[in-house]
Amino acid sequence: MVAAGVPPVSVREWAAWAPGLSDKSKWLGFLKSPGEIPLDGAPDVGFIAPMLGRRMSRFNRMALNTAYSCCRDAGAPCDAVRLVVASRHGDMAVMARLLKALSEKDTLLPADFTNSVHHTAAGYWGLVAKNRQASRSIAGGEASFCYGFLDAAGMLRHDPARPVLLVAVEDVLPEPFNGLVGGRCIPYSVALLLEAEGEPGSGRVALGFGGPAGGDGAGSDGTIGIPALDFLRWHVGGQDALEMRIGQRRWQWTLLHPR
Amino acid sequence: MRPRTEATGRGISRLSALGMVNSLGSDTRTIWTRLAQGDQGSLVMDEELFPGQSVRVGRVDAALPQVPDGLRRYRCRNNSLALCALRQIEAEVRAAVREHGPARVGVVMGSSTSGVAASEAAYASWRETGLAPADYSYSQHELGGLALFLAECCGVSGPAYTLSTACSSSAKVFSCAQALLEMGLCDAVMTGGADSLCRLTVQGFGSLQATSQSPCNSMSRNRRGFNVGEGAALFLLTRAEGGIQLLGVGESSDAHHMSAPDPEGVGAAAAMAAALADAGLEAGAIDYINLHGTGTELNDKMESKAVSRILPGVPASSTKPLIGHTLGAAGAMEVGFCWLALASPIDGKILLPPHCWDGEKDSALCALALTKPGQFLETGAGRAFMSNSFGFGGSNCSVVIGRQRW
Repeated sequence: MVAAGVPPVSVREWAAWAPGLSDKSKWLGFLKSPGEIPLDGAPDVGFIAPMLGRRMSRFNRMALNTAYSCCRDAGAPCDAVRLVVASRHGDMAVMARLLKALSEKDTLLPADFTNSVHHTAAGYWGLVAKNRQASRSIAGGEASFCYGFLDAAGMLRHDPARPVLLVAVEDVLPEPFNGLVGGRCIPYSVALLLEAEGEPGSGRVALGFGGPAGGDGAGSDGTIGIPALDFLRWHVGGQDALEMRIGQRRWQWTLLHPR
Repeated sequence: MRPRTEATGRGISRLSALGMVNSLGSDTRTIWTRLAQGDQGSLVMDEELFPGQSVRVGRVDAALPQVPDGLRRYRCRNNSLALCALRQIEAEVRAAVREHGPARVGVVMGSSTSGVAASEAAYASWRETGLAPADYSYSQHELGGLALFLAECCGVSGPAYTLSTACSSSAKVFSCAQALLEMGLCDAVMTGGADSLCRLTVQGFGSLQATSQSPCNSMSRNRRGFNVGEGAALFLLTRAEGGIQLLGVGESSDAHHMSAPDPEGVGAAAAMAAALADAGLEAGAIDYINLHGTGTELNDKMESKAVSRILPGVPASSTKPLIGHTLGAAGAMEVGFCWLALASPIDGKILLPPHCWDGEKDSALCALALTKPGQFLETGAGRAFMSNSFGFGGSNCSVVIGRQRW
């Protein structure tokens, strides 16, 4: 049984990036018939000053690429949105470099240490977008995207006036973690610009939460198996409902049509 | 505490119970006694965490509960710290689960590195032998694992996730936990933070020259930085009147630098002002502020500016000279100290956490009303306390809690 839900929110705009999927038309094709996503590729960060962009890993570039595209396409000022970054793993490439240095009793590079915190992408977004709004970075296992949506909905419930940008981002895992972590790991980022009230006549998304759920839902019955991408596929596909079962919990997405 | 100036979106929520462990002890009574005495004896030298260097740290010496066999994949020091805090409030948590049902109890935790120490050992072993140790599981390191672990410990199936914004992680959780109550998703939420000593943070902050060999000497002209600490603080937040209430949370970002705060303290002041606005309180209603007070050159300079601008003359102290900087656990830990002060008045006197330092003022800092050992406030009037937490990437959060009746 789905016990309760967050207040419905409006998805004003979305953006996504993955290797080989650099614009919306390619994404619409992919979401219609999902194929393999290659592991190599780099997102465009031409909107970032080169001095800053050079310091950023692919993980952070993916996050900022979709955050920026989403605001741009929505016509929303980048400095006026609050931010929730949702990632299960964070930037494990930099973490592995630090663990390697520790194992070799090498000195840690201050920049690597600074960039290893989970909200590095949020920090860069603040610098790039000159954004002084609240920002959060969360992790919730395989349901990290769902928890990010839930957290953003909580922000909108508390203060409906300012939109919240939700950015889900993951990268491939370096050794040895790639062999130690279950589940599919591909590089991608998805950004959603969420508002408490949408444009008149636009639909809203309700998220129901419940548990416990039996079985292994993620990845089954023809889904992509990555909650952020399955959400996007559902969102652009216009279906009424989508249920995800992740671990012991169930997430039920419902499109509320405008009256 | 004056009445709220205007209605805000924040609902009623009570910080109903608190469990805590840090270098001062593994129960709130011991911790509060040693804290009130200004006992800095738990900051000790360590020879293991930084090869070739002695570093002063706030280490937990208490025997910690072991993660049960059934949850072996979560077995690590960080989760043992969290479990130690949970055991102290288990009766209240069980009562909430009985009253509301397991699906109506959530968990929102803050941590900067979770059980990364397990991955430090596993990585070294993998490099040497090609295999991770048999008892290693990525769940020990995974940030989201902390909240899931506590949820599984208590058999609750409400939302369970972790915030990680470095040193403001477990301050921001209060806003998220309260949102779960406001949205009607939960009737009770376990919320707080846990972080444990590891080579990554000790050497990392060492590489940034943010740590000090001597005990943290916040706001002194002789300050050299902080001592990395460890511990956990865990609250049960319920939708109830009375007791000690969560009044407001303010968040802001610096948009200044990835590891250094805005020297003017603009972001810090914005978070403090936002917390006041969220609580519907005027600045004059705040009776005490627990500073971020890391004792680094930059933090103290900017924080003294921000505090003297937003809360001039308000009694203030940093408790990092007593337990070290518990990083992702610091937010909840220091809100916890505010809670302990409000919860345990003696003969009508609310003892304030003392600011332990060498008393050498820095003329480059804005003057603050730093508390002295034994300084107290009278009960009687409503009281409101604020706690500041600022993290890497300019991630700021201020939390206001208060008590109306005594």
